[in-house]
Amino acid sequence: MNYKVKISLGLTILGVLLFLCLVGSLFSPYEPTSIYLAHKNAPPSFSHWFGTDELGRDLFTRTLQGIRISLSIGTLAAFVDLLLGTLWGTISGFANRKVDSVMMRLAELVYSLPYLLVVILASVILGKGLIPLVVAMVCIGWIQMARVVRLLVRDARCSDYVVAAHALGVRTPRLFLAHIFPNIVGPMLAACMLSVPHAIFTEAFLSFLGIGIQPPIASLGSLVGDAIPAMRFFPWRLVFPASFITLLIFSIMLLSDGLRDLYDPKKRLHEGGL
Amino acid sequence: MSNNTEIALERNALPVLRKIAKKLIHLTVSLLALLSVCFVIMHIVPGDPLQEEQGVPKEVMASLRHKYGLDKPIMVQYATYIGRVMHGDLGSSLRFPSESVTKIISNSFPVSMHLGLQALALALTFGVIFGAWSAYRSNRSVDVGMTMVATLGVSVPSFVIAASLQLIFALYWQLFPVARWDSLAHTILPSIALSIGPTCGIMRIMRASMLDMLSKEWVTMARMKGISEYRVLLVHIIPNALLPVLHYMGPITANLLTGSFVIERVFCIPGLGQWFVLGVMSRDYPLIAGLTLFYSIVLYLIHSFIDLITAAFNKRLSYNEGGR
Repeated sequence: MNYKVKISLGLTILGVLLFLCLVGSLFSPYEPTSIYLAHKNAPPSFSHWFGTDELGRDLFTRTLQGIRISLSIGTLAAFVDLLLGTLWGTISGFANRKVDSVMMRLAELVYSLPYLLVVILASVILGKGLIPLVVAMVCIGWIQMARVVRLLVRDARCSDYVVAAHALGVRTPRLFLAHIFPNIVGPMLAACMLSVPHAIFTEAFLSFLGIGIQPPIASLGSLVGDAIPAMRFFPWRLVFPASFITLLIFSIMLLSDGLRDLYDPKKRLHEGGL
Repeated sequence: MSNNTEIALERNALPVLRKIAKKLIHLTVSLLALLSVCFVIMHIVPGDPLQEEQGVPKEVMASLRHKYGLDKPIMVQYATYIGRVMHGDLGSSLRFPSESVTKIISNSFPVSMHLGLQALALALTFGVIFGAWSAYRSNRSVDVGMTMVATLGVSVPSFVIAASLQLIFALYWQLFPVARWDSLAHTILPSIALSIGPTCGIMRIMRASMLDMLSKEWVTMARMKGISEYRVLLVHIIPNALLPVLHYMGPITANLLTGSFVIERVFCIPGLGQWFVLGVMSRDYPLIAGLTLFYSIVLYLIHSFIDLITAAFNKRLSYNEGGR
């Protein structure tokens, strides 16, 4: 499958989901947290498209809220990762050997701590909510980005155009911004796209266990978690949130795969697609 | 000749020793850092493990705090903690006072390990086979289909897989027991649920590295020499293509360990993950700290083991001392 198919398929699914998030609430008159005990555990119908949960809350509205939360956590975490990682990676990539090695040792030290354990520990101190969760994820998430950026910068520094620019007397800040950055922004973006699904996964995982986003706010993970005890009798409560979280991550994965292929011409050549 | 080997040995032995020493120092520093982080975090957190005890007289409360050492200055608590950990005593759980953390770990780790190893075996077997097949038939319909399935497989959260398997195979068709951990039949669904993500991950990596190998000149050369296609595949291509999969084993094992939190929860398996979640929810400091430490040591040992195997397989790596 070539990268164009991947990118366009990923973008299409993601676009549909985004569209649903933005205008979906027009199609359902319910609030995500309003309770109608008379309609509890209703199967999907025209009034409740995805049915309702054990408190009679409309699942369509709650699933949309979950997608919004997942997307905002994913993009926010990826963006902060990108910022921190670029800063650290660039400095480390330009610095002399000693500074570089110290910076990378530090990064390695933090990186060798198990990701999920640290996120859980951090979210325990920071409290429960969207922003603390993102901060907890960024604590470790930025390192992958920093490593990628450092390697890219190091690679670029050895290439002829940078040596030439350096020989012509271009100063370091300009060297990075005008010469190196435009050449590495593609692979950086591809790496950054990978941290979006990672963050979404982590949030869903924690919410599923009951230590992430707290009720009454709906998250795709907690929706699935709440549905499991009753899944034998009310399977729709499991099916809809579960398939939406899968679709969401699937589209972003396709997009990041496609971007990676796009910026890795060698690999594109092997796959014979162009 | 023997002189040469001796020199070679000497030259090789030193870097290896240095590497091991470096690794040990790294391990000690990171474990100490982790322990301190754990300790500090647990003491910054608002709330006290004993605050939920209601209707306890002040004197009893004070003696309880004294018993668990919660009334001493924080540095003293830290020092005693580190000292005890050095002796392999991780303290006793605050919520389950009859159990020591070491006992909890030694009771539940075999269960988690059994689950993890079974899932790992499944993931490796199917991931490698399907990945290789997919690459060998690249850009045909088999490959496109399998790539799609693999991408979908890495996108499904493990709890969704676990719940769906439970719903279909245990509740609707009643082929397997729904939950718990008693016999071999109980282990099948959890292992499959845990292995799907890693399987698809290995498939993707195997496919990419196979494609890379298939276009190498020495493969064309081997074919030119008239070696049978099976031999080319099994002797020349696949062993070389396995290297990136080996590199990926570290993240995979970490994935299996954390994935088991959810799987153990869904299938009610009395493993380490259950205890960890329980510990976090009830702010059981010694339990959380002990389990975090244990998880890190296990992960670290696995990482080093994988490093060793990779070095043994990859002559180029061992040649220039660890490569990158």
